[in-house]
Amino acid sequence: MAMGNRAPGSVLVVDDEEDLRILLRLELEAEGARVWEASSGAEAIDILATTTVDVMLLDLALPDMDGFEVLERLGERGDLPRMRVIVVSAHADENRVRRARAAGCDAYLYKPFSSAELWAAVSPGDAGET
Amino acid sequence: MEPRRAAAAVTAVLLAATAIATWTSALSVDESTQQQFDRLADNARGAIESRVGQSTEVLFALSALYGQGDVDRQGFRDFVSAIDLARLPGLQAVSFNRRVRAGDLAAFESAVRSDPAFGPGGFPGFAVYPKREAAEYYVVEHIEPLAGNEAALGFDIGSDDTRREALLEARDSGDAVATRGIDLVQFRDATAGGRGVLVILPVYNSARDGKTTPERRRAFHGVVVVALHVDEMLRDVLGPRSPVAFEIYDVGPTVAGPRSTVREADLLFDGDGTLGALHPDRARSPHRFLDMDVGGRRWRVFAEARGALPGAPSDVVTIVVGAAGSALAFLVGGVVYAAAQARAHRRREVFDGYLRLTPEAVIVVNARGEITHANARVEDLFGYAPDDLIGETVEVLLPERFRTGHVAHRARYAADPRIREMGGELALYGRRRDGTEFPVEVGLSPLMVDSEALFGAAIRDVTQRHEAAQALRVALDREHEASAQLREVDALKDEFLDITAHELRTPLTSILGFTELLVHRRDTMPDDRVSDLLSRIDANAIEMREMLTRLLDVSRLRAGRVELHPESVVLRDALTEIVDRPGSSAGEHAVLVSVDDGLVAHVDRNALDHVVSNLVSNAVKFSPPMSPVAVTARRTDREIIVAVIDDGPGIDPGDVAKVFDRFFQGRTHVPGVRGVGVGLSIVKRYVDLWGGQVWVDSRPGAGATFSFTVPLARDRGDGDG
Repeated sequence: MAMGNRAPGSVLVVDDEEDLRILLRLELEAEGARVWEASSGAEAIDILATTTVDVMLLDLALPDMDGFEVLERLGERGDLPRMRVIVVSAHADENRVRRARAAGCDAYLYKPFSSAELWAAVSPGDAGET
Repeated sequence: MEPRRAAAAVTAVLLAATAIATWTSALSVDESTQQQFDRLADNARGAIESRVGQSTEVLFALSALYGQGDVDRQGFRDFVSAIDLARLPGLQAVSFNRRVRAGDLAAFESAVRSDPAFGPGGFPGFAVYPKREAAEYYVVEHIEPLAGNEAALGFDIGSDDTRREALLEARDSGDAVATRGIDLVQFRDATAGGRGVLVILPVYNSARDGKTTPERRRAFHGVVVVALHVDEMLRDVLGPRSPVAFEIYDVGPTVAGPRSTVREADLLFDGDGTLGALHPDRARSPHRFLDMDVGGRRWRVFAEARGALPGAPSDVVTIVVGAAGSALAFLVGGVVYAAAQARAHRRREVFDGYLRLTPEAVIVVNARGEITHANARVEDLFGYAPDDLIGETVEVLLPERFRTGHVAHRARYAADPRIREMGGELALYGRRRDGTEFPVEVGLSPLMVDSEALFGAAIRDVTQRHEAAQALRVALDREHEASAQLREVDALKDEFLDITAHELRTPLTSILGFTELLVHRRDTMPDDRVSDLLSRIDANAIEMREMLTRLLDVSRLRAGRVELHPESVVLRDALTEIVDRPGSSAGEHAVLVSVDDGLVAHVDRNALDHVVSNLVSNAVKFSPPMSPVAVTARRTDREIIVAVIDDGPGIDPGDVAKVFDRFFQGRTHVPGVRGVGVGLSIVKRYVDLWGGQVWVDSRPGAGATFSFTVPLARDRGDGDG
């Protein structure tokens, strides 16, 4: 169902899988978000150097560096507090989740996720964290 | 206890007891003998007194006769013949010696000559002799028995000092007086041994019987005399038959003081002619002196035991005790010995029986290392008959390399012998007669037999145990290997499943997401977008299928469940078909197939498919879109080399070796490329399975060429396939 409420203004989708980027773009744009794409950690860092986004959807399995490293770098740079970070991963074990939270993520998306789960993570509102 | 010692001990004890008993017996015999001897000696004195007394009785009887008046010849004869002279051995004669005054001598002689008692004619030869001048003579008037004593008639006993002395003493004392030992007149001419004694009793005229010496002298009528042949008198009681040898010596007048020692001259009687009294200290048997008084004379009797005394326990008893006791001691000792031997024998039999039956080979070794016993089982284990081993050194049963060490070992064991096991954990081997070896276990124990130090060894053939242990070890090792492999496979599977599951999530996310978008927003979606999404869904689904296929492949390959069925495959057609297949991994790439003419491989078609698909899929993934990918096949002398060439980023030289490892993906990762890293590992598996080789040539930035070999089909007639 379309979520008309509280779509973020801008979203950075970081994933090396083209299909996932397309999927997320379509989903987010349908609700009026401005979507940026990065297919690697380096690319994401570059984009964020010059652009501010409201939400970052970050795949942990990136080709050049894993998501944690990206977070670390961004954290050093002080970019993290300005945006909502959602980590996306095919693994959902406790260690990773804990580590992700410790690294500064606000939500954890476990593949495969439904549209509802996606929106719940992106703009929690009353629904709370996922 | 050891038989000899037991028997010896028993015998010794019994012999000791016998010795004590014998000694006691001897002592008691000695004592009895002594008592018996004393008794006999006393008896002898009694006998002497009695015999002498009996003869003296005659004197008193005769004296009493004369007391009634003078006795004529016939009366004298009658008197004497009334005496049973047989009862009086030794009594030679009874005589009356008349006191004849010198003046009366002629008348006396005449009267006697004409005595009618002599028979008609009287006795004309009668004369008083020896002729001497004296105041009075004491003449043998009567003497009986006359036969044998005729010579004494007329003898004047006053002519002989000894006789006269005794006579005068008798006249004066009125008592019977004995002479010392004299030669009796009767036997003067006869053989030696005529020693006798006269016992003289005075006869007085009754009218002038008086009590004082002067009175007696006045009344003195004459003397009656018995002549005693002492030897004859006493021979039958004190003679050779007597167990005690007697000797009698006249040692002088009692009153005047007898001599203390005896002289041969004093001899009256010598029972065995030994004159033992002269040297009493030489006597070996019990002996003693007894004194007695006979007619005023001191007779000293010497008694010496001769042989066994009647009534005394003889030494035979002692001998019997000693002999019987000793015999018994040895007999009992013998019995004990026999019993102990039998027991030992029985024990040995039991032991031997056990030795025969026991499944172990048993040997006994002495301190020098020589085998002294071996049971029958040694033949089964070592191949030697038991008898062959006796006397051999125990080391003969060991392999040569152990022998020196074993000798030293034996010495150490002898110093500290204990029951213990040998072998066990150590590799201990025995050596058979034929030289072969086998593992053994040995139980040692020290033995002590007849105070010789021996060692018993029970030997077990533990070949089976060894082999079993060995087999067990081998089985364990294999088991470990197998279980390690299984664990590896298991871990691999887990890892694999993990990764695959993980990897599958991504295409699934796309499929679900796109599907959801189409479901919810298709109405607002342009057609080309819809087609695009549908294609992507399709592609992701295929991707998932391929992942699953590869997963199953690996699973099957690792489990060894893949069987290859090679056949003749025309390569150009096969390779083209794989590449051009709808839905293949070629995707947007133009894949060129270049195969030499007429190449036919001998290979499993399905396996070839897997290999080529994987390589092409990799090539496509790892090279940029639209970059060329080629599949070639050419032949060498013996095989065909198929190659898949891409123009992608290449592979680090450091990674080349690892590229066929499972899950390896390589650093130069192309974005957007994903997939379980098993593809190349699958390729390697299949190629290994058909006995080929696979390798990669690559330089970073210059693409990669993966090559593998397949066998030539045999019907081509080239090479050996």
